[in-house]
Amino acid sequence: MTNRNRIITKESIVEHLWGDEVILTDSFDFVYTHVKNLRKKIIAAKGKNYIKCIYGFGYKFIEN
Amino acid sequence: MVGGGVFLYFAIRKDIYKQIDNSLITEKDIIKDQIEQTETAPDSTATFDHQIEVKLLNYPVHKLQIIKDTVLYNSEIDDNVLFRYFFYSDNIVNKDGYTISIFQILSEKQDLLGTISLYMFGLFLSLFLISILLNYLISKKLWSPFYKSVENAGNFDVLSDKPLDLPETDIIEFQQLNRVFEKMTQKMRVDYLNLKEYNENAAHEIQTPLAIIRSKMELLMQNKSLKKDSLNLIKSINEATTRLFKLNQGLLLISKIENLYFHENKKISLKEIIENFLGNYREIMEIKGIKVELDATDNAIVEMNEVLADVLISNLLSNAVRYNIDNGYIKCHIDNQCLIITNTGMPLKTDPELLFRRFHKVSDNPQSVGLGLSIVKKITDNYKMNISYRNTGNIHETTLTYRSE
Repeated sequence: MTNRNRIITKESIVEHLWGDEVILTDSFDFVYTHVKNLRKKIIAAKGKNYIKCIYGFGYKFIEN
Repeated sequence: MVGGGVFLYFAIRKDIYKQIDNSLITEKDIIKDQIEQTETAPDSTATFDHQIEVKLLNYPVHKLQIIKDTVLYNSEIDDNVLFRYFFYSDNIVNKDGYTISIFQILSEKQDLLGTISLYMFGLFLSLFLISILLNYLISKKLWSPFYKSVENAGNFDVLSDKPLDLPETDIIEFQQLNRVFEKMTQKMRVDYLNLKEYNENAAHEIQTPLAIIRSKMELLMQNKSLKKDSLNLIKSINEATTRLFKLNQGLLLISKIENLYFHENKKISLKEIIENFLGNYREIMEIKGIKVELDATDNAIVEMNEVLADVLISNLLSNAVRYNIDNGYIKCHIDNQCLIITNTGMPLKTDPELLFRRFHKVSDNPQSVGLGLSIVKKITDNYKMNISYRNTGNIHETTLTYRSE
């Protein structure tokens, strides 16, 4: 995991996914949705809730 | 030419009348001499076209001479005939008076005048038509280099390295015009290249410090010792730089479109782009309870740049999702003529005419830079498509009309 314990902003996530089309984004609803689904799948696979929401910024993958 | 014809008609008419009047006066003089010498009148004569009547009076009269047109009825032809009437009255020296009346037919002269006029008109008309034809042929040859220059200037492609191909000509004015065209197109090409270079440099130069700011902000926010107030400040700075980044990207995209940066076109299936987008946004739409209907034909193919096609459709559909209401719907109809997106949403609170203007926002969302629809408009203008919008209550309809293959 390259960015463990680092805050990754939602803007960075969007730019990583969409590249130049980031200008079309006015909200980050789809980021929230995808992260929520990712959490569900991790928990469903008996994993822990590694992804922590950092309010106003983005997310952090908490290793421990 | 018409004026000349009319003048000629009246000149010939005047000359004919003058000749007739002179002959009548000559006849009068001959008769007058005879009367004064012999004190007798010659016999009156009358033919179809010429009548002379002389009367010797037993009283003096005033000297009088009248020449005018008159009409006499001819019973043989049952019609009135135009005559030139000459009347003269005088006195034999110190004695009684006499009158001389002469009628000279004019109809024949009139006919002659008419025939001459007709031939003259025909001659003038022929000259007129021939002059038009000659003028046309000469102009066509003479102006050919001009039209060729104008045509080539109109087809000038600023993207091409080839100089403007202008025909050789001996006419000084056309040579001057060619020089102006060459100079103008060279300047256009130079300006275009300068602007293109500026855009490319601006993209790099502005994005570099922005990227540095954002990367430093990301490093800063990893600092666990920061207090809440500091974090809030960092959050504000982060939002502002993100907005600045999107502004820069948006304006650069518009500039690139204007400068024909995206000139490589290919056949694009709009249906595929729509289906990809709807697939990507499926979860979002499910969360908001938005129902989607897609009515698309396979022949909705347009020839345009692939990147711009994606930006165009994504922009329209993302608006339909973003501004939709919970449990609303989106209907897409696409055929080989147009794409119609109908969606539910809150009633529009702004002037629809302003929607496609830069920086015009319909929401207070600070993340919105207000460039999405102006980018759409720029793309549609570039490809001679038509974009229109209308809103009726909670229903929004966007229509994109294009030339389809």
